[in-house]
Amino acid sequence: MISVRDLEKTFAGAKGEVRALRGVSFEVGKGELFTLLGPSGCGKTTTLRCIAGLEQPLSGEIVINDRKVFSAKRWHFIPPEQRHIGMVFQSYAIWPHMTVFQNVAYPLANAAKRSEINDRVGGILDRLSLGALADRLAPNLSGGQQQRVALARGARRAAADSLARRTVE
Amino acid sequence: MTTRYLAYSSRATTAALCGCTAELEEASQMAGAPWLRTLRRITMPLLAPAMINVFLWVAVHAMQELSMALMLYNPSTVVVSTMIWSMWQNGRTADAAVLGVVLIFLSAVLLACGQIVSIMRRGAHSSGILRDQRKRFGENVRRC
Repeated sequence: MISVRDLEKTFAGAKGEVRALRGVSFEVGKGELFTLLGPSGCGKTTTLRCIAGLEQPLSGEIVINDRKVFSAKRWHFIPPEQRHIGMVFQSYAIWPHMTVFQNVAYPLANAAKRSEINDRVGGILDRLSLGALADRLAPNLSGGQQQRVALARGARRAAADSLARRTVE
Repeated sequence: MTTRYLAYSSRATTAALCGCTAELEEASQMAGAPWLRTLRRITMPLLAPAMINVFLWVAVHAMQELSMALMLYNPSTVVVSTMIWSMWQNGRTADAAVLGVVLIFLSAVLLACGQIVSIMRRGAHSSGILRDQRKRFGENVRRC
Protein backbone atom coordinates (compact mmCIF):
# COMPACT_ATOMS: atom_id res chain seq x y z
CA MET A 1 0.00 0.00 0.00
CA ILE A 2 1.25 3.44 -0.89
CA SER A 3 -0.19 6.63 0.47
CA VAL A 4 0.96 10.07 -0.66
CA ARG A 5 -0.27 13.20 1.09
CA ASP A 6 0.15 16.87 0.13
CA LEU A 7 3.37 16.36 -1.76
CA GLU A 8 5.14 19.57 -2.78
CA LYS A 9 8.30 19.80 -4.81
CA THR A 10 10.05 22.72 -6.46
CA PHE A 11 13.07 22.81 -8.71
CA ALA A 12 15.41 25.75 -9.11
CA GLY A 13 15.13 26.85 -12.72
CA ALA A 14 16.84 29.58 -14.74
CA LYS A 15 13.84 31.89 -14.30
CA GLY A 16 13.23 31.33 -10.62
CA GLU A 17 11.55 28.35 -9.02
CA VAL A 18 9.55 25.77 -10.92
CA ARG A 19 6.75 24.27 -8.87
CA ALA A 20 6.69 20.68 -10.07
CA LEU A 21 4.25 19.23 -7.52
CA ARG A 22 1.53 21.20 -5.73
CA GLY A 23 -0.23 19.23 -3.04
CA VAL A 24 -0.35 15.83 -4.71
CA SER A 25 -2.34 13.27 -2.71
CA PHE A 26 -3.45 9.76 -3.59
CA GLU A 27 -3.63 6.26 -2.22
CA VAL A 28 -2.87 2.96 -3.90
CA GLY A 29 -4.19 -0.19 -2.30
CA LYS A 30 -2.45 -3.56 -2.18
CA GLY A 31 -2.60 -5.37 -5.52
CA GLU A 32 -4.07 -2.34 -7.18
CA LEU A 33 -2.84 -1.16 -10.56
CA PHE A 34 -2.47 2.61 -10.55
CA THR A 35 -1.68 4.81 -13.52
CA LEU A 36 -0.53 8.43 -13.48
CA LEU A 37 -1.60 10.00 -16.73
CA GLY A 38 -0.85 13.48 -17.98
CA PRO A 39 1.00 15.62 -20.50
CA SER A 40 4.80 15.85 -20.55
CA GLY A 41 6.25 17.83 -17.68
CA CYS A 42 3.20 17.63 -15.44
CA GLY A 43 5.08 15.86 -12.66
CA LYS A 44 4.42 12.15 -13.13
CA THR A 45 8.10 11.27 -13.02
CA THR A 46 8.77 13.66 -10.14
CA THR A 47 5.99 12.04 -8.11
CA LEU A 48 7.42 8.57 -8.71
CA ARG A 49 10.95 9.72 -7.92
CA CYS A 50 9.70 11.18 -4.65
CA ILE A 51 8.03 7.89 -3.72
CA ALA A 52 11.21 6.02 -4.67
CA GLY A 53 13.31 8.40 -2.58
CA LEU A 54 15.39 9.72 -5.46
CA GLU A 55 14.03 13.23 -4.87
CA GLN A 56 13.43 14.96 -1.57
CA PRO A 57 10.03 16.68 -1.54
CA LEU A 58 9.58 20.08 0.06
CA SER A 59 6.63 19.05 2.16
CA GLY A 60 4.11 16.26 2.52
CA GLU A 61 4.19 12.68 3.67
CA ILE A 62 4.72 9.29 2.01
CA VAL A 63 3.77 6.00 3.62
CA ILE A 64 4.64 2.63 2.04
CA ASN A 65 3.13 -0.51 3.59
CA ASP A 66 2.37 1.27 6.88
CA ARG A 67 5.94 2.48 7.09
CA LYS A 68 6.50 6.20 6.97
CA VAL A 69 9.31 6.70 4.46
CA PHE A 70 9.06 10.47 4.20
CA SER A 71 7.58 13.16 6.36
CA ALA A 72 8.39 16.83 6.07
CA LYS A 73 7.12 17.83 9.51
CA ARG A 74 9.68 16.21 11.75
CA TRP A 75 12.21 15.68 8.97
CA HIS A 76 12.09 11.98 8.28
CA PHE A 77 13.66 10.56 5.14
CA ILE A 78 14.41 6.92 4.46
CA PRO A 79 17.00 6.56 1.67
CA PRO A 80 15.91 4.75 -1.52
CA GLU A 81 17.95 1.63 -0.82
CA GLN A 82 15.99 1.02 2.38
CA ARG A 83 12.52 1.51 0.91
CA HIS A 84 12.28 -1.97 -0.63
CA ILE A 85 10.59 -1.00 -3.84
CA GLY A 86 11.31 -1.93 -7.41
CA MET A 87 11.47 0.58 -10.19
CA VAL A 88 11.65 0.46 -13.96
CA PHE A 89 13.39 3.52 -15.32
CA GLN A 90 12.35 5.35 -18.45
CA SER A 91 15.68 4.55 -20.07
CA TYR A 92 15.59 1.07 -18.43
CA ALA A 93 18.99 1.91 -16.86
CA ILE A 94 20.35 -1.58 -17.39
CA TRP A 95 23.98 -1.83 -16.32
CA PRO A 96 25.94 -2.24 -19.55
CA HIS A 97 28.94 -4.02 -17.99
CA MET A 98 26.86 -6.88 -16.62
CA THR A 99 25.07 -9.82 -18.18
CA VAL A 100 21.30 -10.21 -18.06
CA PHE A 101 21.69 -12.70 -15.21
CA GLN A 102 23.91 -10.36 -13.20
CA ASN A 103 21.55 -7.45 -13.76
CA VAL A 104 18.59 -9.39 -12.41
CA ALA A 105 20.58 -11.00 -9.58
CA TYR A 106 22.05 -7.71 -8.34
CA PRO A 107 19.19 -6.73 -6.00
CA LEU A 108 19.37 -10.20 -4.41
CA ALA A 109 23.08 -10.48 -3.98
CA ASN A 110 23.32 -9.28 -0.38
CA ALA A 111 20.12 -10.90 0.82
CA ALA A 112 19.90 -14.46 -0.37
CA LYS A 113 22.09 -17.56 -0.60
CA ARG A 114 23.73 -18.40 -3.90
CA SER A 115 21.68 -21.47 -4.74
CA GLU A 116 18.56 -19.49 -3.95
CA ILE A 117 19.67 -16.64 -6.22
CA ASN A 118 20.18 -19.13 -9.06
CA ASP A 119 16.69 -20.57 -8.63
CA ARG A 120 14.87 -17.30 -8.27
CA VAL A 121 16.68 -15.47 -11.07
CA GLY A 122 16.41 -18.50 -13.34
CA GLY A 123 12.70 -18.70 -12.57
CA ILE A 124 11.91 -15.11 -13.35
CA LEU A 125 14.09 -15.10 -16.48
CA ASP A 126 12.24 -18.14 -17.78
CA ARG A 127 8.89 -16.56 -16.98
CA LEU A 128 9.82 -13.54 -19.11
CA SER A 129 11.35 -15.81 -21.80
CA LEU A 130 14.80 -14.40 -21.15
CA GLY A 131 16.35 -17.69 -20.05
CA ALA A 132 18.32 -18.14 -23.26
CA LEU A 133 19.79 -14.64 -22.90
CA ALA A 134 21.05 -15.02 -19.33
CA ASP A 135 24.69 -14.72 -20.39
CA ARG A 136 24.17 -11.95 -22.91
CA LEU A 137 25.65 -8.56 -22.05
CA ALA A 138 22.99 -5.93 -21.56
CA PRO A 139 23.92 -3.65 -24.50
CA ASN A 140 23.53 -6.60 -26.91
CA LEU A 141 19.79 -6.77 -26.33
CA SER A 142 16.89 -5.42 -28.33
CA GLY A 143 14.71 -2.66 -26.89
CA GLY A 144 11.94 -5.02 -25.87
CA GLN A 145 14.38 -7.43 -24.28
CA GLN A 146 15.98 -4.58 -22.31
CA GLN A 147 12.54 -3.60 -21.10
CA ARG A 148 11.89 -7.11 -19.85
CA VAL A 149 15.25 -7.21 -18.08
CA ALA A 150 14.42 -3.93 -16.35
CA LEU A 151 11.06 -5.37 -15.32
CA ALA A 152 12.67 -8.58 -14.05
CA ARG A 153 15.16 -6.56 -12.02
CA GLY A 154 12.45 -4.34 -10.57
CA ALA A 155 10.33 -7.34 -9.61
CA ARG A 156 13.18 -8.94 -7.71
CA ARG A 157 12.54 -7.25 -4.39
CA ALA A 158 10.55 -9.72 -2.36
CA ALA A 159 8.16 -7.38 -0.56
CA ALA A 160 8.05 -5.09 -3.49
CA ASP A 161 5.61 -2.65 -4.76
CA SER A 162 6.80 -2.03 -8.25
CA LEU A 163 6.84 1.46 -9.61
CA ALA A 164 6.68 0.89 -13.31
CA ARG A 165 7.33 4.00 -15.22
CA ARG A 166 6.83 4.11 -18.91
CA THR A 167 5.80 7.08 -20.91
CA VAL A 168 3.77 6.63 -24.05
CA GLU A 169 4.33 9.50 -26.34
CA MET B 1 54.08 16.94 -15.52
CA THR B 2 50.72 15.58 -14.49
CA THR B 3 49.41 19.14 -14.44
CA ARG B 4 50.50 19.67 -17.99
CA TYR B 5 48.42 16.72 -19.22
CA LEU B 6 45.52 17.47 -16.90
CA ALA B 7 43.55 19.07 -19.72
CA TYR B 8 43.73 15.96 -21.90
CA SER B 9 42.98 13.54 -19.09
CA SER B 10 40.07 15.56 -17.77
CA ARG B 11 38.53 15.71 -21.25
CA ALA B 12 38.86 11.98 -21.66
CA THR B 13 37.38 11.17 -18.25
CA THR B 14 34.55 13.65 -18.78
CA ALA B 15 33.53 11.68 -21.83
CA ALA B 16 33.44 8.52 -19.74
CA LEU B 17 31.45 10.27 -17.02
CA CYS B 18 28.85 11.33 -19.59
CA GLY B 19 28.38 7.69 -20.50
CA CYS B 20 27.80 6.77 -16.84
CA THR B 21 24.41 8.39 -16.38
CA ALA B 22 22.86 9.11 -13.01
CA GLU B 23 20.05 6.66 -13.72
CA LEU B 24 22.48 3.74 -13.67
CA GLU B 25 23.50 4.66 -10.12
CA GLU B 26 19.93 5.35 -9.09
CA ALA B 27 18.93 1.93 -10.40
CA SER B 28 21.55 0.47 -8.07
CA GLN B 29 20.09 2.40 -5.14
CA MET B 30 16.64 1.13 -6.03
CA ALA B 31 18.07 -2.37 -5.98
CA GLY B 32 18.90 -1.84 -2.32
CA ALA B 33 22.61 -1.16 -2.66
CA PRO B 34 24.12 1.47 -0.33
CA TRP B 35 26.43 4.04 -1.91
CA LEU B 36 29.64 2.12 -1.27
CA ARG B 37 28.34 -0.95 -3.10
CA THR B 38 27.04 1.27 -5.89
CA LEU B 39 30.46 2.84 -6.22
CA ARG B 40 32.25 -0.50 -6.20
CA ARG B 41 29.89 -2.46 -8.42
CA ILE B 42 28.47 0.15 -10.82
CA THR B 43 30.44 3.39 -10.97
CA MET B 44 33.99 2.08 -10.79
CA PRO B 45 33.58 -0.75 -13.34
CA LEU B 46 31.98 1.70 -15.77
CA LEU B 47 34.75 4.25 -15.37
CA ALA B 48 37.68 1.85 -15.04
CA PRO B 49 38.47 1.47 -18.78
CA ALA B 50 38.70 5.23 -19.26
CA MET B 51 40.73 5.65 -16.08
CA ILE B 52 43.25 2.99 -17.10
CA ASN B 53 43.60 4.36 -20.61
CA VAL B 54 44.06 7.93 -19.39
CA PHE B 55 46.62 6.77 -16.84
CA LEU B 56 48.63 4.99 -19.54
CA TRP B 57 48.33 7.89 -21.97
CA VAL B 58 49.58 10.41 -19.41
CA ALA B 59 52.30 8.07 -18.15
CA VAL B 60 53.70 7.41 -21.62
CA HIS B 61 53.63 11.07 -22.58
CA ALA B 62 55.05 12.34 -19.28
CA MET B 63 57.88 9.80 -19.42
CA GLN B 64 59.38 11.20 -22.61
CA GLU B 65 58.59 14.85 -21.87
CA LEU B 66 61.69 17.02 -22.20
CA SER B 67 61.04 20.74 -22.64
CA MET B 68 59.28 21.22 -19.31
CA ALA B 69 61.67 18.93 -17.46
CA LEU B 70 64.60 20.94 -18.82
CA MET B 71 63.19 24.17 -17.43
CA LEU B 72 62.55 22.71 -14.00
CA TYR B 73 65.34 20.25 -13.29
CA ASN B 74 68.29 20.73 -10.97
CA PRO B 75 71.09 18.28 -10.15
CA SER B 76 68.99 16.53 -7.51
CA THR B 77 65.91 16.05 -9.70
CA VAL B 78 67.28 14.50 -12.85
CA VAL B 79 64.85 12.46 -14.90
CA VAL B 80 65.63 10.13 -17.78
CA SER B 81 64.78 12.63 -20.50
CA THR B 82 67.02 15.36 -19.04
CA MET B 83 69.75 12.78 -18.45
CA ILE B 84 69.68 11.86 -22.13
CA TRP B 85 69.83 15.54 -22.95
CA SER B 86 72.89 16.22 -20.80
CA MET B 87 74.63 13.08 -22.07
CA TRP B 88 74.05 14.28 -25.61
CA GLN B 89 75.39 17.74 -24.69
CA ASN B 90 78.52 16.19 -23.20
CA GLY B 91 79.20 14.13 -26.30
CA ARG B 92 78.30 10.80 -24.68
CA THR B 93 76.11 9.84 -27.63
CA ALA B 94 76.40 6.10 -27.07
CA ASP B 95 75.13 6.39 -23.46
CA ALA B 96 72.32 8.66 -24.60
CA ALA B 97 71.32 6.12 -27.24
CA VAL B 98 71.22 3.31 -24.67
CA LEU B 99 68.99 5.32 -22.35
CA GLY B 100 66.82 6.25 -25.31
CA VAL B 101 66.31 2.58 -26.11
CA VAL B 102 65.41 1.92 -22.45
CA LEU B 103 62.88 4.75 -22.54
CA ILE B 104 61.27 3.48 -25.72
CA PHE B 105 61.18 -0.03 -24.29
CA LEU B 106 59.46 1.16 -21.10
CA SER B 107 56.79 3.10 -22.95
CA ALA B 108 56.28 0.16 -25.32
CA VAL B 109 55.70 -2.11 -22.32
CA LEU B 110 53.17 0.33 -20.86
CA LEU B 111 51.33 0.62 -24.18
CA ALA B 112 51.36 -3.14 -24.60
CA CYS B 113 49.78 -3.47 -21.15
CA GLY B 114 47.04 -1.10 -22.24
CA GLN B 115 46.46 -3.08 -25.42
CA ILE B 116 46.30 -6.37 -23.55
CA VAL B 117 43.80 -4.95 -21.05
CA SER B 118 41.56 -3.60 -23.79
CA ILE B 119 41.74 -6.83 -25.82
CA MET B 120 40.90 -8.84 -22.70
CA ARG B 121 37.91 -6.60 -21.99
CA ARG B 122 36.69 -6.87 -25.56
CA GLY B 123 37.16 -10.63 -25.38
CA ALA B 124 35.13 -10.82 -22.20
CA HIS B 125 32.37 -8.82 -23.86
CA SER B 126 32.12 -10.81 -27.06
CA SER B 127 32.59 -14.32 -25.72
CA GLY B 128 29.02 -14.83 -24.56
CA ILE B 129 28.95 -18.17 -26.36
CA LEU B 130 32.20 -19.26 -24.76
CA ARG B 131 30.90 -18.39 -21.34
CA ASP B 132 27.77 -20.37 -22.14
CA GLN B 133 29.89 -23.48 -22.32
CA ARG B 134 31.40 -22.90 -18.91
CA LYS B 135 29.43 -23.84 -15.86
CA ARG B 136 26.74 -21.36 -16.57
CA PHE B 137 25.14 -20.20 -13.38
CA GLY B 138 28.04 -20.99 -11.08
CA GLU B 139 30.24 -18.67 -13.08
CA ASN B 140 27.64 -15.94 -13.01
CA VAL B 141 27.06 -15.99 -9.30
CA ARG B 142 30.73 -15.77 -8.56
CA ARG B 143 30.76 -12.57 -10.55
CA CYS B 144 27.74 -11.10 -8.77
